[in-house]
Amino acid sequence: MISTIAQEFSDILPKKQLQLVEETPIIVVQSFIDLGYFTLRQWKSAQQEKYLANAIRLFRQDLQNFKFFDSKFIGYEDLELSTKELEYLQEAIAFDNTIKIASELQLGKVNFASRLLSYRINIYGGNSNPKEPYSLATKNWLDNVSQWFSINKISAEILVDLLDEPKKITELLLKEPDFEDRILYFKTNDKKIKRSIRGRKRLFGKKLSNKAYKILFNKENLKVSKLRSKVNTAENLFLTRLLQIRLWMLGYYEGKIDNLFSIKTIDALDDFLDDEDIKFNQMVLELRTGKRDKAYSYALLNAQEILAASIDNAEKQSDDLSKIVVEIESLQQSSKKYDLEMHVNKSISNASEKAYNNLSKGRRIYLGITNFAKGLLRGLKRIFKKIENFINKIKTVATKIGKFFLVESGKALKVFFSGIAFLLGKRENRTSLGNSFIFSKYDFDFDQINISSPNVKKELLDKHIEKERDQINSMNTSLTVVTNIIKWVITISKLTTPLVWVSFVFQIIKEVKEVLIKKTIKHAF
Amino acid sequence: MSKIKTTFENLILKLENTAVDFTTLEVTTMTGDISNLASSEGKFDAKSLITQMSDADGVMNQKIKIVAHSHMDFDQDTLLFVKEDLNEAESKLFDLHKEAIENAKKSRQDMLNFMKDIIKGD
Repeated sequence: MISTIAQEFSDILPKKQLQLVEETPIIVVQSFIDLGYFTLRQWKSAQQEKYLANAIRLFRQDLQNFKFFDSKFIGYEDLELSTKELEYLQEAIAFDNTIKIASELQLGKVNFASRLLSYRINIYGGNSNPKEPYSLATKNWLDNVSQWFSINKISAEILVDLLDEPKKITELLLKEPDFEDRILYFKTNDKKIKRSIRGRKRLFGKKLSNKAYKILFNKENLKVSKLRSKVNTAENLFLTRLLQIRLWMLGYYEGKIDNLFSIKTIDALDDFLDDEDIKFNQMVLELRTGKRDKAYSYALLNAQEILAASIDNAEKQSDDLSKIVVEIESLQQSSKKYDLEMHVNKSISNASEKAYNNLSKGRRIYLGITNFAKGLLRGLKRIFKKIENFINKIKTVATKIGKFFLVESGKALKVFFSGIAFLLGKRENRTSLGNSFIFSKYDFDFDQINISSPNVKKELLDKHIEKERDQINSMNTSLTVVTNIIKWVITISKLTTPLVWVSFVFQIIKEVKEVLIKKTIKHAF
Repeated sequence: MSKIKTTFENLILKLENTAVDFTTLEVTTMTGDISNLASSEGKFDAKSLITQMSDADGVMNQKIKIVAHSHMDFDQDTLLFVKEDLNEAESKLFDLHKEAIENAKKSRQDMLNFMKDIIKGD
């Protein structure tokens, strides 16, 4: 099945394409573009047979439509359209937004009128799937049609004047822009924007967003070696044409769109590559060594243009809500004239939908920003809270450690001072129990006098003995500590200069004053 | 001149007594009515003890009895006096006396170690 369809496809394409070189309007070229794009895009799909068959069917249908249109639209009387239909066609041509109205007649001829416009849109960067010329997407690209009218200086008045001369209308619609005077002006936000011949980052007079520019001028799109090495194949005739159209759009190519990879085409390509700072030879080398996927990338060329224009168009639409209002008013007037209330209602609902979408978009952005800010604040608060908790924990731990040391050092100091007191001053013990008591009086050299009340009880005696032992132990501890302190001081004094030693002593005094005397000693006693 | 000589002699005598005192150890344990010995601040009044122990004629006051007395010289020569016929309470006090001797010896030893460490200096 595939081979049969592919054979059919290859039979048609080169033959027709070669015939189109000199005489065929660009709409048919676009048919090839659509066909090639449609086919190549889907080539790797599992349903390739179906897609290929569909592509060929569409292509044939378009050719038939074109032939029909071409043959029937020569004279007004031969068109075989009713007056009403002609009015709709007139509307379709004069007011781009009413193409939808015309298309709803489901007549091949009128259908083709809108399809014709969509082809033109395609060539100039928009996309309108020929299978669905009446979709919302098509409607969105009608702004490009109005631009096309502007390029060719087609106005509603002119079309009205030419009502009796449909052939002229056809010629007008199919007319190519003047290559020598391709400085285009478009109305955008009531300002005229000049597009220079070599102007970049602009398409249809509108500045492209970085994203659109990146997609449209992707270096991967220019597969030169493919064109050079297989220039005689049907596929690459089509690709050459694509390239020529692209270069023409960018203002580099000024020759005919003739599918030939001529010197003019190469020069234009070289200019483009120079301007884009792409090294031609390097690129050819890369393509030859198969570093890039050639055919598929080229197939996407059209899609990328479409995407870029869509982005552009979307930006434009979001900018100008007032146009929608004008559109509604225009349609309201039209509905009175042509009794098209239904379409007016639909248009209003569409416009409302657009307005709602724009408002919704704005609201989403606003909510997004505010939520982001709130989230950021929440996050910062959490971080600060965690830091605060961490510091508090450290404080708690430090306090506990400090308290522990204070208590322990307090106990130690209590023992120490008890010993010191025993050694230097408090040299007597008195233990009493009821009326009984025992005194122990110590002399400087530890001579001792014990005296007790008569009939002292064992309990009192034990208590007194224990007390004395404690005091002796405390004294021992104190003597050890003092000895050690003296040793430390001597060691430090040996190690440091006198100045440091003095400052060290002062520091010790200060610490003792602040910590021990104020807290520890108070706690201990 | 003679006054200076007398002062100097007294000083030497004091130093000698102190040295002797420091080299000997005396522990005395007594019992009796000692309610008058405590000062108003609850401290032990050693001076009044001497007064209380002897009357004006130098006779021992019978209100206070010596339970035990120990004298230990520098060379560990020891004199131990213990009252005869110790009753139960006095026996307990004798235990206190023995404990006091041990404590005093330990204290002296600690002090001597302390002084030795200080002098040694390392």
